[in-house]
Amino acid sequence: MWKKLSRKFHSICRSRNKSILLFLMPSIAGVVLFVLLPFADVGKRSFQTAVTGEFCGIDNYKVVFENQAFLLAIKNTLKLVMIGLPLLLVVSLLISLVIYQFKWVQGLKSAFLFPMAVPTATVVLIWKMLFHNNGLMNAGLENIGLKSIDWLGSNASFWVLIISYIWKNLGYTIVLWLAGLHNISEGLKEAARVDGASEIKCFFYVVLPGLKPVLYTITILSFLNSFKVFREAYLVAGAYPQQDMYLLQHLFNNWFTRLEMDKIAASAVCITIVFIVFALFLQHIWEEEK
Amino acid sequence: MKRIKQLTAFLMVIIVTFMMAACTKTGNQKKESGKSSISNENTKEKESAKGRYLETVINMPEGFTGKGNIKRLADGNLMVVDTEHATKSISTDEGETWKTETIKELKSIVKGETEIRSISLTEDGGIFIAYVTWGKKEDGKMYPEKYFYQKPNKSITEFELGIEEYKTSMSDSVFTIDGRLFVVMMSRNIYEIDLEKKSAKKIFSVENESSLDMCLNEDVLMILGGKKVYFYNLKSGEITADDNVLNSYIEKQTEKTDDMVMCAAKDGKNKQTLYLAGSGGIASHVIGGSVMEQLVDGALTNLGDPSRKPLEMFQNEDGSFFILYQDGELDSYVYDANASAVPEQQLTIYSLYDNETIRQAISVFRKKNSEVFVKFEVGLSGENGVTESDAINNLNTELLAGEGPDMILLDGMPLESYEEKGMLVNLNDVISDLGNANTYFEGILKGYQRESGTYVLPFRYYVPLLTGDNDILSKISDLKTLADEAEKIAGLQTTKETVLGCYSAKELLEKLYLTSANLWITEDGTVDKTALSEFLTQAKRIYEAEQKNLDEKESKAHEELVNYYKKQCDDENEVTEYFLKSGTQACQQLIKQQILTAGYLCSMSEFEFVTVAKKINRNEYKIFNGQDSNVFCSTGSISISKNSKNQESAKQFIKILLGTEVQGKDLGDGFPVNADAYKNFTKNPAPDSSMSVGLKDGNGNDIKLEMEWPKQSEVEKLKNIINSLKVPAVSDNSLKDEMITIGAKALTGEKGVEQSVEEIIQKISLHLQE
Repeated sequence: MWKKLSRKFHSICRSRNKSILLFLMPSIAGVVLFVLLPFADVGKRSFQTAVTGEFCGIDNYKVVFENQAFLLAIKNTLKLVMIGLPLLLVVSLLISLVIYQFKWVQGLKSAFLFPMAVPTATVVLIWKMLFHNNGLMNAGLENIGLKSIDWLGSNASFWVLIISYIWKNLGYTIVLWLAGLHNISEGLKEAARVDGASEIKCFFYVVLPGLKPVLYTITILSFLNSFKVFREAYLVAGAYPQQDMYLLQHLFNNWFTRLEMDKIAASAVCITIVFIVFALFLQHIWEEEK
Repeated sequence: MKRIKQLTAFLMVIIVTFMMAACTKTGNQKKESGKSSISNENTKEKESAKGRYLETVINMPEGFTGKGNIKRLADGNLMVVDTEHATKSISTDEGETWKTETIKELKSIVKGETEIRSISLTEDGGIFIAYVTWGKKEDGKMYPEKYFYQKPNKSITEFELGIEEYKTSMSDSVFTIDGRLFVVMMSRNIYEIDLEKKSAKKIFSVENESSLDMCLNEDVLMILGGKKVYFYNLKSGEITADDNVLNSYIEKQTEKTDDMVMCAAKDGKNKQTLYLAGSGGIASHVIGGSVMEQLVDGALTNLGDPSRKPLEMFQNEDGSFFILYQDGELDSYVYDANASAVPEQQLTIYSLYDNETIRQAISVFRKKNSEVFVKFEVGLSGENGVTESDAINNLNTELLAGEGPDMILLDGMPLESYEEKGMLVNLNDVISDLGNANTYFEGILKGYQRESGTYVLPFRYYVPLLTGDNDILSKISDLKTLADEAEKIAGLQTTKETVLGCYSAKELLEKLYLTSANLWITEDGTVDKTALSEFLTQAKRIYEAEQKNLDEKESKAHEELVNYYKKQCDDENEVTEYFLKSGTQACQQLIKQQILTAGYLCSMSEFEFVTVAKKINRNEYKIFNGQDSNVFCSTGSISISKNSKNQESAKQFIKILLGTEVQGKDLGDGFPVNADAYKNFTKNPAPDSSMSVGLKDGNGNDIKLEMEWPKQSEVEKLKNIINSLKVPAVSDNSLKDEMITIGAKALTGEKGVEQSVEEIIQKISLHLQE
């Protein structure tokens, strides 16, 4: 195998692709130095004790999978992804389809990115005003004759996460969808209409298949962004929020305070594997479609 | 395309393997040469930075204990006036020898209950003393202050001035070179005293009364008035504009302690320079200039020791300084250009919060180990907006990298995690060495002992104390019996005050938490629902008893008082702690605001209030047990990091920290662990002086409290209580915050006890499951 790889390496080095390789080298080196190498260290640590660095086999993995807090964090994070991600994709797509009809609205594209530009500390203040027991949301509910909700102290806290996630990423996702919509040939749609396709059929058979390439990018980016909702959750409800709001990053943060580096390493490896599998799965579907 | 992908993957594997191998090699090298690399770093640092003021103790006249003053005379000799022994000593050889003579006229003054308020000396040997004799009752005179002046020709003048109708007293005084005398009074007014005419003329006033000190340079009188320095031109009689650079330095320095002295001189460039000495060290400032120059680091001298207060400071002709301390020690600070800027070896201590006892121990350790510099790092200095969790994470990053401090104070830290992870050094050998040298309160010293060893040693702690009527106290042994008695007391028709002085549910839970919380978590790390439920049930009973005789007016008055203290203190926790103290509660008991006190004793001055209250109310005190018994609240616990390259020096430091010298001093931050030091700790620091405290009861009546130092029998009784302490209180504040926030709702009836217990368990279980 080594011989085979070596032969390939030499053939590329000799070929005209050599210049491509040279251009790629700085970024590859950066990724190796700042991502792969530290991660290799995390992988190594996942088989060692936290401070003394003694080899402990798969003990850390066993501990992590028996840890109720880890399982709860995984459950909540998955729940957030499973509910938040499709909701974001569907809502943003619907809005972008509407916006696509109005060219003048598209001129305000940069305004859609506004939620991403607002500092988290400011957003948190707004969330506190909204979701406090005596906040605006409850005032609204009471005004229409409904019972107020303990947003941050009950199961409703999960929906605070969903709202926060969608609010923050909606504009950005709309911009991405719009870019995808622009790439679909107007001629194709016109031809479908001439063939008698309704607007709905035109959407399902022309527009949606045309959006598949961008769907992969949007899904991966939105998936990664779902992990960033932790910042708001942490600043709104602290290191130990209501259980439904408890995410993986809460756990990692608290573990680090307690020097549980072994557990962090083991769970980081597990999560990375899940990420890679998810990304490969999406890529596989995408390539199959192509 | 596919080929390029494969090649890239191959390259990445090669690079990763190569770099990991390189990293491993570096790591090993570092491990092997860890000790030398540290010393090499220090050596490099040392080589690059030279020059330091070295501190040397100057011999003082025999028996001088700091009561008096020192002056460099015009002829270059040193003169010391000892007001305790009424003597005057002259040294012609910089303190090597002293020639002492008695001042007979002064001797008759200083005996009895005379308090020397201020003493200043002239360059030609004149002595001015302001004193108050408390024993003699003089009608209408709050401060019957008198003055003694011995001229250089030894003729004596004694007189009274009745400044501000005897309603104030002198804080400091200073002579000009031409013999003019200026004094600053407690009323913050500055006077010039004419010793010939025996009259006083008010010049101006300063704003802040704390830390009043004066010095002179040519025609400028400088008054350190709390947070700023006032410059008064003696010729023009005008006050010059504020020096903002100087004032902001003073404001920062006096945050911790007001004890600061100053002197002024002209520097080499003939510029007026002011020198200030305080806990931060010695700093110089060219008046009107834009910088403060740090000449001496407080951590390297006695100035950094919180138990040593500077009294007087002057600069010598060669640029060196003499500083007289309150305990009578005179130290010189001479610049040595060849000395390294900091001592070669360095020990680092990390703490989330500042700690007075540690600072004192550093000073004692430095004297015995001049070659070691002890650096004290405070994680939450309050200057950089760092939170507790940020500070711990920063520390953990260093620890996981194999670096970090040599010693860690574990108060507010995840103590159990550090122990479990093997981050700390076993201190069993330190305990056995300590046991050979002194006797200790075993229960406390070994409070954190585990089967595998002892990784944490407490060095200061609070004593939970319950005070009240003897009959009532005899029936209280735990939380339930406390609740029983609280209900009984509140139900009596004669009861008009609260039982424990708790006006809100949160205040009550704060009071009861530490002596009960240990029982809520079982050994397997789960919550004991029964114990928690029982705690809230009993706490609710006590809360209802508290509320029974409480009217809105009292609650409002208490709320106003709490808000007042919150405004005074930067840290809200300080206010909470203030109301938990036994001394504070003893005062509340005396003004009939509460019947029992359940608090924490943190110093002898607190205990003084308890014993005075005991005498007046004819009540008793005993250990305050909650659900758990014999709990002590550690306020200082130290450990050594396994990463430390200086473990032996660190162990030496801990031995000094727990030795009699450091443990014997009461700095108000807790009681000693060293039983031999307990005698010194409980000794009256001012046996000759008397103190009275004014209190106001709920009806606005004034109550005068004549303070009296606890008798030996009381000191022994307290010692017996301390001897019984053996269980460290829980230190996890996050647990406490959840408990108090949710538990308060159960007490006020907003939620049921069982519902609150479930909610607390749900919150706490996240902590425990992690």
